[in-house]
Amino acid sequence: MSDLKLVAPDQPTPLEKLLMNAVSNEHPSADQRARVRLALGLAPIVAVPAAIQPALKSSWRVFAKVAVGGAAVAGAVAAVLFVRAPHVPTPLPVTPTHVATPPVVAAPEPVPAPLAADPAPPVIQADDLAAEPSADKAPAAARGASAKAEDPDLAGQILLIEQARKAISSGNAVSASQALDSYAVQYPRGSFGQEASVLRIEAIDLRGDHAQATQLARAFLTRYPKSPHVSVMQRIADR
Amino acid sequence: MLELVASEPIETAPSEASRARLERMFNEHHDFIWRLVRRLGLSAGSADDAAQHVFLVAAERLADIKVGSERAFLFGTALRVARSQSRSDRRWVLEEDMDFRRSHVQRPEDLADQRRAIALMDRILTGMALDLRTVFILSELEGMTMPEVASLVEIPVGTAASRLRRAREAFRTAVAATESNLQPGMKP
Repeated sequence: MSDLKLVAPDQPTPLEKLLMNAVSNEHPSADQRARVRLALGLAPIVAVPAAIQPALKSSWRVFAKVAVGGAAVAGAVAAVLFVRAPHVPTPLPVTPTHVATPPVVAAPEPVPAPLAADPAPPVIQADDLAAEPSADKAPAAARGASAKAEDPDLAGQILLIEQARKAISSGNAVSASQALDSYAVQYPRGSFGQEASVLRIEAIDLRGDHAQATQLARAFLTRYPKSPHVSVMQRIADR
Repeated sequence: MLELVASEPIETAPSEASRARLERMFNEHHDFIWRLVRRLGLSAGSADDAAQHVFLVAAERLADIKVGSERAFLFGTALRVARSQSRSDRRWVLEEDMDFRRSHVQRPEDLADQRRAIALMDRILTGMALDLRTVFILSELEGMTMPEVASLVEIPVGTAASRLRRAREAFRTAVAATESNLQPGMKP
């Protein structure tokens, strides 16, 4: 017996249709997709300005090693506040060109050279993003109007977060902190504040300040016990 | 995981095949998982966290997931994560509901607003038993066939169909109750 016979279709009322359409059209935001891809070590799917594509392409390989292995990071926005105190951010000029040339010291890194086997990062255009209904907080009209401008912004954020993560993966806490400082200055309300917070704690731990890192990780866990990245912080907190 | 940083050997990196598989899982199922946890009662912000959590679990257990069972694995994980997270989310949901009730005289133009409609739909879904809600989401909102729903939820097709009937009844009753609160002549 087919499912059509098992459950005869009913004719929905207008209000039922309206409600069903509303939720069926709800989608995660482009930022959310980018965040999960970052955590999984997958290539970002944003229309990345050509100037920063090479950096992204080489750095997200390192990501994959760390993130998929369980080192994916996240945190919570407020964690930025409490990790900010121990590490005084270096004031950096905030200009759009910083996205292309972030003031981060390149750290020597054990990145495997060949990229040929890598699938080319899929790219979606700004128009695709603009067409997506979003569940984020901005009004729909505002989202549509700003969608094009969000792409380079998102790419710039991803670049800095990747640089921080790459620096950590290569053991360069100073470089990681600089990238995170740049992120904080350029994107005070950025989409990856959570990731930045946990990376900051990892950087503090990496530079040898284990007691402080442990303290911050515990504070993080107390405040955000349901964070999807509790396990990452737990490992530091349990020392 | 700090142990992995700095000195992680290349051998521990996921293979190209694993990464490609993860990529496929993300592309094919991420939005579904996100909508699922949303409809299971999580706020948008919590749904973001929950969906990320689900995929991190999948990444860590990729080798244990049978090929062809990716969606089932993600679905089962999402149910558990949503259940666990919904407790901490409850306060948010209740506050949202209170805002909603404050404007108890609903006008069609309000309902036409997608966000308001979503809030109302979520309130209706929250009022359903979880087993009914799950089948309703998969069938009515995600457009899955009854065999697909039955397979994913791991119940007989007849049971899935029965749950869907009851879920539809519950939904219609709730919507009718809402409509009865609309001002005369203002129904959509």
